[in-house]
Amino acid sequence: MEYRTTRFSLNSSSTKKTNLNSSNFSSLSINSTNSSYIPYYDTYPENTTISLELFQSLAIERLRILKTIEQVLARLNTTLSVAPMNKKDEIEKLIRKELKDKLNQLKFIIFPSFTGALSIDLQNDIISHYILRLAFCPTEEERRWFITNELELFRYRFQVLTKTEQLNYLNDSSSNIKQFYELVSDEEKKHYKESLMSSIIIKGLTNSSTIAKSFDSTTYFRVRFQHVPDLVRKRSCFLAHGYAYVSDNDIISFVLQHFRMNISYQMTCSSKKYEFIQEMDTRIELILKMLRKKRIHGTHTTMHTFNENEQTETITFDMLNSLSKRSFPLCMRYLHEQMIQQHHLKHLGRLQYRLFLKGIGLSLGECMKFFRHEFVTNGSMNPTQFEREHVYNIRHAYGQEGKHTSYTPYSCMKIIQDPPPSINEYHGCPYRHWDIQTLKQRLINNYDINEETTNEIIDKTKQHHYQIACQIFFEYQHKVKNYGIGINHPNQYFNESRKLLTGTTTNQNTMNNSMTQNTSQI
Amino acid sequence: MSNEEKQQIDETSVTPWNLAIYYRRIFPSHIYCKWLAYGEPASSLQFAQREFSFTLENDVYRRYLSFSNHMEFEKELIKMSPEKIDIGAVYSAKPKDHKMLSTTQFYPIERELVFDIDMTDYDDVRFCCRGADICSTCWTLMRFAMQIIDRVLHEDFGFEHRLWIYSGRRGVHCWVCDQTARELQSSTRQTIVEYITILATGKESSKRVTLYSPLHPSLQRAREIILTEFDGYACLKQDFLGDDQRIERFIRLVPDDSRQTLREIFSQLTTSAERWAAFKQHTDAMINSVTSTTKFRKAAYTTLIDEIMFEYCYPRLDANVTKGMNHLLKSPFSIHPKTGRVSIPIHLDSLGYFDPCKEGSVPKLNELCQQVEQLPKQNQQNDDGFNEKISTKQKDYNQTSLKPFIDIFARFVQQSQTSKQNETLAKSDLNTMLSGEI
Repeated sequence: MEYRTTRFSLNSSSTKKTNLNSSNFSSLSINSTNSSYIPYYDTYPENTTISLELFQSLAIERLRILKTIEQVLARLNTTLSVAPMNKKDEIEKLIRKELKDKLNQLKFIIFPSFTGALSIDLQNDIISHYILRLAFCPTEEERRWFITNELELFRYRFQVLTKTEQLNYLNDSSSNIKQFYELVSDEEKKHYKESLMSSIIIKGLTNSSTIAKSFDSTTYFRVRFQHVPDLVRKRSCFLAHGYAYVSDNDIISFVLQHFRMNISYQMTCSSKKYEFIQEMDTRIELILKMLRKKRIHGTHTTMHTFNENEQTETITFDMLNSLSKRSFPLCMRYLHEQMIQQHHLKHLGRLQYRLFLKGIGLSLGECMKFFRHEFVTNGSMNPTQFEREHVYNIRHAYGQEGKHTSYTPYSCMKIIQDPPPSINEYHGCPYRHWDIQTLKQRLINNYDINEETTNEIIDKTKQHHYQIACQIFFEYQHKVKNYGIGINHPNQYFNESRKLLTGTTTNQNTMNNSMTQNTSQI
Repeated sequence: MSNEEKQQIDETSVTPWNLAIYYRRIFPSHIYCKWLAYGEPASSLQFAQREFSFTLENDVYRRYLSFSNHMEFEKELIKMSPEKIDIGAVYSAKPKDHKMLSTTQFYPIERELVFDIDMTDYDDVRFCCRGADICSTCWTLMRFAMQIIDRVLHEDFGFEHRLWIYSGRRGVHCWVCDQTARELQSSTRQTIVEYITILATGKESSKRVTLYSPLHPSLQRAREIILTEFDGYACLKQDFLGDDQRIERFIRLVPDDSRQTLREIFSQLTTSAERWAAFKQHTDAMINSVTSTTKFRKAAYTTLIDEIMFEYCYPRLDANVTKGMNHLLKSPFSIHPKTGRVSIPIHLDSLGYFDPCKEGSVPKLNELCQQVEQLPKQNQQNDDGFNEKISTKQKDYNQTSLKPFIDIFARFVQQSQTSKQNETLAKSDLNTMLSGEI
């Protein structure tokens, strides 16, 4: 499994050419009429010479593809794994539109039906993949970004394959994927017939004869349950004795997980040797650095990260009640209300709310006063318990204890993806985690939102556009229309709200803002 | 200790004196250490890099404790006499050195797959008790939970070594000790939790269970388990449709178009059993009715009865305990500081019967202490040297009411290690453990 990145530039010291180590391009026999082939990316390119210019342009093209995918999905607020079928076409169209004229060497990745894949295409595909792997292996954040978007790309390409092509892919002897599954024999399939059939989730009414018909023609695979977490989580496969029985319709889950585990493991290994490559060839190191920079700047077009320095007001804890009504996003307003009512918050609620408060400029001292006031003075906690259990944690959040890291307030993405609140917990994103009925009632009854706006919010929520729902809430609260900020951080919500309500920002802040604006146009 | 002194001690009280006796003479530390060594030698890293946490008097927490071998563990246990013991993960280094290590050097590498089910999570569906209180009636929910989850772990996930523990107060824990389970990553643990969970979170007041027909095989099995007792439990014991408030709670789970009809039907009946029967009849009628306007409306009724049974009875897990590898969980044979009860193992065959509310079903600290104090003198006379103390200790607990539970535990430990050891060896080990000879 060792990933031999460091041999990358061994022979490149004197020439302008870079040597790539590739295992066996000759054995990768692809039929040029078969346009839909995806490499496994489990063997490493060897003994191929490419120019530094091509090296760079391939990498930039692939980065552009990944970034486009990221942006399209962010705009639609979804991932391909959860996107409903009808949306997939929309996503595909958008990706194609974005990339149309920007790709040269890697066209066939996105447009499989337009060009017949030649072995040179395949080679470029593999090389570009490995260059980005190398560029993004150093830190965990970069690795995660790369893997997430490579997986989405892979999923897109796998879905284009026909069923036969998918089966061939699984059956290819050059990949180790074969070790991880077994075909379910007809006998076993018959034995588990009832269970397999009732593991197919079909919403609404089911027609048993159609199920039976499709069952007969379905091929089943037996894999360890760890290898199909998506399916197990949704209870959409049958499990017996630690094995999942996966139908050919769902096998993509297994392929993706396999792909994910491979890259993740290999990139972690290569990150440990990264220093080595830095010493090898400065030209390559420069390109890799440039790639990392390009990734960051690109993401700013969709991600407005909040700026801590934007905070101008001095906030004390007795201001929170009125501030929460005027300037808090719903998630934080609800946490605040619960805090005032219950005089307590559970762990995850405390984390989410405390960091937000820190972000809006509540000082450590004021934060401490606020929690003590609620937990002890108004609540039933005795002072020693508070000292023992909470003082440290509050100081910790402000970077005064432990690792002395000043933790960043949670972004919308984190709040949306984190574990949902269970009973007596109040954290999370209201649009994501409350059920529609509750959300509707509270919007109308507790937050005085008129029916029209509530329905608008509910609509967006139903389409999983949680942040847009939040934006509508913002616009209603502040009586503005089409205020195009794109909420993606509770503290950004707060800052925008203060800007609108107080109408004053210092010069420095205006500068900061305009800078952020500029970067977001890059 | 004189008799008067003994009587002064409150029924449930957990005193330093009693704890000292318990750890010195009763706590089965050699089987316990053997369990956590999983077939490795006594001084192995498997044991030495395990985190323990002791809660001492006045709620003093000592996290990141670790012990290089069994002798050290036992010595410190007796010395500190904790009110509560928690077990954490096996780390990449000794937890007691964690302050000197960075996060790249100190991280959890292994952890039993654990589950924590707490009765407080069921407060909206039990009418007998609230909060920390439990009774035989609501304990039915725990019996459902144990039976359902145990079969999921065994039949669906293939785990063999499952240790169920009564926590000592209002819940149960399960420790899955298979090697594959201990090595699971946090994300896979989360996956397992989600597979088991069907109650939607964040919906405090409305219907939280949505099922699709046909039920997934694991839910069909859960349904069968709940069905065995549902009528007796819900209608008779909980009387879940017994008054207006309960009826309204129930009505919220029913589709809008039937609510008024059901209110009227219910008002003409008197008992929960009659109302439940009438509801089922109404639902069947709705499913079969030709006038059921759309397929969609009809679909709302096909799984309704099951959804309601699941809403009232299906297990509710504390997901965070299972998910995090470094989460602490109260140890078996630890004392519950509030009740004085010992956290005891529950035999797999009696998950459907065990009831901690039955008098005498769970040994209490002060009872156990009295039992060993009343032992014939000769046992106590051997109490001089440290080594002798330990060897008499195992004989002591064999004469207390904790013995049956230690036997369950010893058998579990023996079985969970047979993968590593030759079976005959393990068997002779079991005899040694049970007889108390080291």
